[in-house]
Amino acid sequence: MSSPFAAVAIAAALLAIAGDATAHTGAARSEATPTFTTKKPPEGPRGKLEVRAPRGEALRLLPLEGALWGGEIEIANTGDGPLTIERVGFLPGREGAPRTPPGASAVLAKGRDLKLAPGETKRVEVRWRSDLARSAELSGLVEIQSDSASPSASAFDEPALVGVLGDRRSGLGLVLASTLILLPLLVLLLAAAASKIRALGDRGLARAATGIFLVHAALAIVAAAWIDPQLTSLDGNDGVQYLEHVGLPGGLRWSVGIDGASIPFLVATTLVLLGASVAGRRVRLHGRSFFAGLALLATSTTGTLLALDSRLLVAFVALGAPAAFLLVAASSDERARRAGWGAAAIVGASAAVLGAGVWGLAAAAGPGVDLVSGRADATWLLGELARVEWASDARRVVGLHPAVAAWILPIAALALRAGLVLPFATGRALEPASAAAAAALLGTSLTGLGLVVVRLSLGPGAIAASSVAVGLVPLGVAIAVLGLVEAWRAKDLVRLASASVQVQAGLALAALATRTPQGIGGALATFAWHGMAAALLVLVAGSLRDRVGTSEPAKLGGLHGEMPRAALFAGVAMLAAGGLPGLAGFWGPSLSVAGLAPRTPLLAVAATLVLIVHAGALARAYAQTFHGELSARWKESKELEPFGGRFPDLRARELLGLAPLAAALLALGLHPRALLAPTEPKLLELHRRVDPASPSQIARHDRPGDDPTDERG
Amino acid sequence: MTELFGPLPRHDVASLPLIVAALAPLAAAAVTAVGARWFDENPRREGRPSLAGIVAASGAGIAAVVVGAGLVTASKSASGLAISPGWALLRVGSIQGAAGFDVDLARGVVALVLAAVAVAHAWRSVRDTRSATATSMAVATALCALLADGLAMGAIALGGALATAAFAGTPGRGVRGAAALGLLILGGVTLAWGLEGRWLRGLQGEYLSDYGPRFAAVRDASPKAPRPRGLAAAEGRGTLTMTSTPGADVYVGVADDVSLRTRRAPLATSPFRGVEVPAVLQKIAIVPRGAAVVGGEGNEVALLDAVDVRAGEDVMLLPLGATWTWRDLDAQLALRDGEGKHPLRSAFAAKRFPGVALPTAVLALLFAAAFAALWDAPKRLAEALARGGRGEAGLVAAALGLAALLPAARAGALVPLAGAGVLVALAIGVLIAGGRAALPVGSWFGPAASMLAAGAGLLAVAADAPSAVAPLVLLGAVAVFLTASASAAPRPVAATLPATAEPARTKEPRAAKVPREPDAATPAKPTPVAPATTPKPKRKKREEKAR
Repeated sequence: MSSPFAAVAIAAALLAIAGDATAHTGAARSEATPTFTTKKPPEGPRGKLEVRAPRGEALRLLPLEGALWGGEIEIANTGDGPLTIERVGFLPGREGAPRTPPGASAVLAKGRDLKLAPGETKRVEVRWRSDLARSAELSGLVEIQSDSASPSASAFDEPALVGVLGDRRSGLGLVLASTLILLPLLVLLLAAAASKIRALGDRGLARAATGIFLVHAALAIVAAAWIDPQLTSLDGNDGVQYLEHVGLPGGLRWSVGIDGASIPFLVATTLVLLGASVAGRRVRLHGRSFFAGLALLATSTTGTLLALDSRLLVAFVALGAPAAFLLVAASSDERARRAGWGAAAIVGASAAVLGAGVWGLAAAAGPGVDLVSGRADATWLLGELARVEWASDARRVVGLHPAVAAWILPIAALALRAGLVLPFATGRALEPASAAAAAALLGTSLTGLGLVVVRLSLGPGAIAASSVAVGLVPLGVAIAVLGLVEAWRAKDLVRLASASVQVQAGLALAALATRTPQGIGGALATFAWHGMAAALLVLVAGSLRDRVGTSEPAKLGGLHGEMPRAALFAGVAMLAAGGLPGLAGFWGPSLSVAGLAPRTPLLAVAATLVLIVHAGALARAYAQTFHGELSARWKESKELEPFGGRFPDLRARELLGLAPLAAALLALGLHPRALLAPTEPKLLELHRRVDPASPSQIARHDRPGDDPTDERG
Repeated sequence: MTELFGPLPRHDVASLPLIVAALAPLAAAAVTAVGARWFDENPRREGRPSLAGIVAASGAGIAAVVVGAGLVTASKSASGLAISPGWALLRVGSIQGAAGFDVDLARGVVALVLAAVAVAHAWRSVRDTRSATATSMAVATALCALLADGLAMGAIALGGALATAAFAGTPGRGVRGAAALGLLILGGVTLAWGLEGRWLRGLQGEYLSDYGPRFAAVRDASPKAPRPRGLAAAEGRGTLTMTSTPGADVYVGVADDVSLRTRRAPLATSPFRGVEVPAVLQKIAIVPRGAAVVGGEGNEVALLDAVDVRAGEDVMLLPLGATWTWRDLDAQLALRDGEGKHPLRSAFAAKRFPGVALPTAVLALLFAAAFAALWDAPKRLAEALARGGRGEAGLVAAALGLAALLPAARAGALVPLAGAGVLVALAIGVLIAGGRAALPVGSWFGPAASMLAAGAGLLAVAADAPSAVAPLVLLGAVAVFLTASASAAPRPVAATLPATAEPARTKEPRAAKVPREPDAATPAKPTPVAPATTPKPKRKKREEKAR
């Protein structure tokens, strides 16, 4: 896994599995594009419907009285014949998953006369009784069906769709999601200004960046506290809260929001970035480059977690490429710069693979809806993509059936990111600067794309889940075994941390493919939290490098007496990474084993063995580093000369970055539902989508040749 | 489904939250670990307890008070058990883990003794922060193991005990500790899935659910008299009780789960006791929240139709199927049908996986976990004796033994259903493990005795006397303590102790403080270091001997 070939081999293996996968057979139809009628329009004068809402903009509802919100859409008949309005109302969603929250209605004003004479205008009144809805926002589409047709057309026009948005939040709640994404860019601006503003300087930039990342982490915790954990897709808006839909030039959309599943990822990511920013204060010569990279990485990862539009999602993932370059190359030597280009290329490739996937899916799904303008040339919204019913003869995505591609391509993107960036980062993590960079890259390597994998594979890929899972479960365990080998061979704490991430990522993939609630929950917890333990370990390793230029356990030893604080934090990191009960790292792997047990008990045993040996590798490294006798060589070494021949322990400034991570690992170990509870409704919903209509957690055996659609009852 | 009846356990809620008994020493350990340097640089006068020792004693003292209060409640409780429901750790599908605690007389007394020993040891003997931290950690994990009412907290206790043993001794054999935890998790997973369904093809899978309800409304005994009719009967009031699934909302008069979508207040939220309801046939809905799947059809809402609530009688809402909470397991396996038989118990005993009776498989995994945790414990404890002194060694022995053995002991309800041969074989295995350490005399004797006591504890479980485990393990810990005391083992060795402990003992001048690390770009000037205190030759010899 540590070589590029390993990641490519995994991607190839995934593609090989895809070849055997059975795709859903059914009618090719996207719910997003309802057709009005198949009759031909009459000859002669025809009515033509024109919606006179601001073009390209959604109708924004305003408060009327009490909990009632409202707005109006003006429609006109611009044709030379009469126009009959057949239906006005909100576009429905799939059964059990309405698009729009309850309490929303759209009716023609001025009575029920459904005829419009040529040139006549009418108003459609849109109302929302927000007290009937659990959701604080409304996003929906008013559909106006009519017999509108162009003079020479041989078919009626498609029904008009008008986006409607409402939001009864105020203050920060209106822009919480955007703030979380864009706030780190302040650091980028400061880094750019640092060269011009003498007063700011490198030290000032570092302090300002730490402050901003502290606020960023606080905002993530605020989001976790404010979010309604019981809100599901049954409450409309696809179960997403803090929605923001804004039109951008070129038909692009800024569609972001927070759902329960993103909460544990969000908090973990911001804590990792905070820790990296504190460690980054030691980067003196190229601090600006480092903090600029960290800011871009923060925006990239947070954006990946909160994006609702697939184009925006790919853009955020791609933003990781310049971030990786700036972080890895934040050093003076040429080798680091080359590694930086390599890392950027790999993150770019990861984004390209994901881009190919979502573009292919969007194109295969056909025209879709747009919550701002009504219609879109393709189905770009992730929520709408999950509603598409794929036909067996649907347009292929990179040679794969769309439902299979929804599994394979995000996983390949994740494998590329986790499998290739880390060696670049860790292989050259020899300077203090790159330890902070490695912590940031390592800590966020599973978060963004991990959630994307869950969303796409269990969303658009739901119908191919059982067939893909047949190969993905053993493959995930195999990836974990490869990571395990790497963990035992790792000579450096940073490499050990990266190998640990690979072990856990493999197990999480296997657990996800089981499609049991426990497996999905285990994958979510692992993707979200394991990065914190890995980042903490890398940061401690960076502190060791700071002092003596190495973090190789074989060269150290006996540090417990010299650096008790470092020993404490490294212990917490390694125990959490090894899955010690009582720390956050326990819940993901144990839920994964619980998820594997009903369907594949043997693989559950194999996964347990992997976890045991993995913990052994971590314990061995800890013992080598911190226990035993301190070598006399160190006492006379040049590195420790400035410190009087002793290893100086972690300083208060270093603790500022480490303590939040360690505290989070401990707190989430004892109360995991503090952040997992918001994920649970989403988790159950995803489980029902991929393994529906069966008694609780029945792990039905999927025999070869079974049609996966049979499972849908 | 067949109507089920008790006997129902009537537990009282402890007056103080029992989790404090584990959290207080844990907090003390955190304080002494994080503030190690400060504590060691501020030594007290000779003859007075050290500051770190006072912190450790305070943590253990608070724990003793909480356990004492729990014991008082337990002695008054009808079931002899005081419970302290905590919070849900996880609730995913049918797997639920709660941070709940309970205490009965046997475990309470053992916990009280442990806490008292820890207070005395910390006050009198603890001199450095490492020793204080080890003492506090050992007490926290031992009490957590003793008071945990479920497998989730049991796993946390075992993890803590292994970490404590590693801290007090020499780590590096993480594989065995991880194996213990892995086996415990596998045992728990097998238990949970096994209670809810069965594997049709053994290790190859093909799991089939029992399609059974996940909750039942249960009375103490089957009423022989027919249900009274008429207005007078309907005006009476019965009560509802639910002490499991903390946080679950209970609604009365709910016809279906659709009506739950309207915002209405629940009758009560678990845990609750004796909430009055009209004595009629009630429709009850239980909403555990989260991603819990509690209905046979994959629903997350359990609907109980026609629950017969009679005037003056209490109806208990009990979880059926998968559970990691021991008292819930005991309660459901003890339920009887109208003929006095135990349908759930019989059904569970009849299941096989993989090829052996399911209860045997679960117990074998739990015992194997204990075996793995205790395998190299003698060596660890001997190292703890050499490094930390007898008090810590005894407490660590108690923590490790209790955390390893109690999950198997608390699963005592499974023992009558399992093959006795397997249990005896496993217990003998642990005895051998302890015995192998008994050959070298000296400081090894105590740890070996501890392990022998642990093996005897396993045999006690096999002999259906799980309440004997805690006292037996405590006896082992006492053996460690006495052996260490009798063999006059030297005090901790300077070379193996953390350097942070040195200033306190050698009274190094403050000038020897480690200088602040300079910026990477500007290396600091070398700082003059005070000469280290040279140990006396006699002490050196002792150090080498201990090493």
